[in-house]
Amino acid sequence: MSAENDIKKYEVIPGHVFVAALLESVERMSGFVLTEVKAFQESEQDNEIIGAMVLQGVNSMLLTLGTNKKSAAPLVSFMTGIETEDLDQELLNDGITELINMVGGSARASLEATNYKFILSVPFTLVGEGVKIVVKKRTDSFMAKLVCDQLNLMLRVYKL
Amino acid sequence: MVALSKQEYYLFQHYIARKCGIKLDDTKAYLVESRLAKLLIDSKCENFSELLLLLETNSDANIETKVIDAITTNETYWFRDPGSWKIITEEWLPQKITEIKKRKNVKIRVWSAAASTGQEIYSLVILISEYLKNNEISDVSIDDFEFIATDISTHVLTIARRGRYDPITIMRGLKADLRDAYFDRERTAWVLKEEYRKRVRFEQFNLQNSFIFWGKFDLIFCRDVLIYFTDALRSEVFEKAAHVLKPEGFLLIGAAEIYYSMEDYFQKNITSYGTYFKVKEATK
Amino acid sequence: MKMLTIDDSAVVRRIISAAVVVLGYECLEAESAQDALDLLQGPEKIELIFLDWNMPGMNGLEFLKKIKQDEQFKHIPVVMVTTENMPESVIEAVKAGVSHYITKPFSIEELMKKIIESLGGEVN
Repeated sequence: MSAENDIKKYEVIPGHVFVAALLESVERMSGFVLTEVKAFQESEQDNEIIGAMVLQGVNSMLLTLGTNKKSAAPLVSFMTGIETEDLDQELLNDGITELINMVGGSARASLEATNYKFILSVPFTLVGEGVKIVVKKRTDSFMAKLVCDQLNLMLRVYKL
Repeated sequence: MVALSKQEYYLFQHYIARKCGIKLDDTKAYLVESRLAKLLIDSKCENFSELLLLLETNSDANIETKVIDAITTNETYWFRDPGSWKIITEEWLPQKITEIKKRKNVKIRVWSAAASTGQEIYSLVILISEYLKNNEISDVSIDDFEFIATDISTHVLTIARRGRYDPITIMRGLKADLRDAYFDRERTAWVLKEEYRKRVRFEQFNLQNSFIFWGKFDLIFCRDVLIYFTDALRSEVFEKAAHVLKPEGFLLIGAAEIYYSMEDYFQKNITSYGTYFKVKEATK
Repeated sequence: MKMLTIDDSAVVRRIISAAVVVLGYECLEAESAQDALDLLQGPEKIELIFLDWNMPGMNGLEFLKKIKQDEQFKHIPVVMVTTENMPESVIEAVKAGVSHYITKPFSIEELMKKIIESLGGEVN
């Protein structure tokens, strides 16, 4: 199964794999069914929490999941059974970190026999009002906006 | 995770399309992989070919059910998609209450066509009960409504019938005051009170089959299941649904779902909270 | 009966604890393998362990091998709860002594089923 000619070769970042991994992770863990919004403005949303992970391989990538407290709260609430009023910032950050961890883990298996095979790094979160990650424009990147009821998530994958 | 080869995926695509009418396109390959990967670990198969073999030879009586459950079972929660519930409260329910008052002995019939673990239909039962109570309507009761809920998966129906939910599942979309009013605490679980649970008839049903047996409905929920169907089955479902929806009945689908083939059979009604569908004149 | 969940994620520990409590048992939490070892040495008698694989410091597999060599703890059944979903990983964990395996992400129902299975019970 892993002979050279069995390796699937993607020309660009296989973003749909990460989207599928996110949809699955969010649904399994919280019950929310996210839908991908096809047309959107990049600058639409101000993030307050960004979960991130470096994916190391021949085609290394940075995987990020950006959202705000308004989205993270119901998400983590449904995951844990804790009412939103009782959630603290640490749990919100932890929830987003764990989600990015699961997305990375799922996607890794799917991309194992491809030219985008990678190993995971430690997941981490960036927190703050209007927090942003800026990567050089030249690089290949993928972006997807996913929503459900009041939830709003921005998935990004950058080639490093 | 074991890689799902192109041939294996092709075989699964055909198997699922045949059994459930569900279309698994290329973007779904990864979803199938992860859902079935868990099944591989649990059924001690080394790879997907082994699983396919089990399905073909029927060596495990439950394997077909397990595969269908793995692919079709979706998580859900209470009062999903606020817009739908607004439409029911603001448009549908007032109309139906007027109808009931005019003609007694005719039940208002509701069908949840992808019932899953029951939250959708039970949310409706709770909503109607609350509406009648809050608006002090005494000449109409929940007895004037008939609730039917179906799903292709027997597994989720078992859970739905029991009406028993763990503390995490119960709080997903259900406020504490409603939970306390409609559920009993059984150690750490919450069980929907018998007087409400008994009102719903749960049955296994494959939407590929004829709908005629079910009679006519005043409200049909068909949310977040059509997205998985082949175009052919989807059109077929719309046609069949149009024939079992009463002239003043509503059809509700998922907020993010848009299907042009619906226009052949249904009239779109756009409100500020969302969209609902009624049967087009010609189909009636 | 007391169970122990070992995971560096507070959210995951919370979910597992909640599921354990639903089934009528108590659940202790440890955010690292080292904390878990300290806990095991303490007065609490642990009868089932939920173990994450990737953790800072000692990872889950190392912890597993360590306790399986310890007369005091080797009898305790261990359920691996991890994003590691490659067949080689599952095999490696089983060889090291894991009795059940659940991959993340998982639904509450899946988790409870696994817990009941681990206790040797039938899922009803």
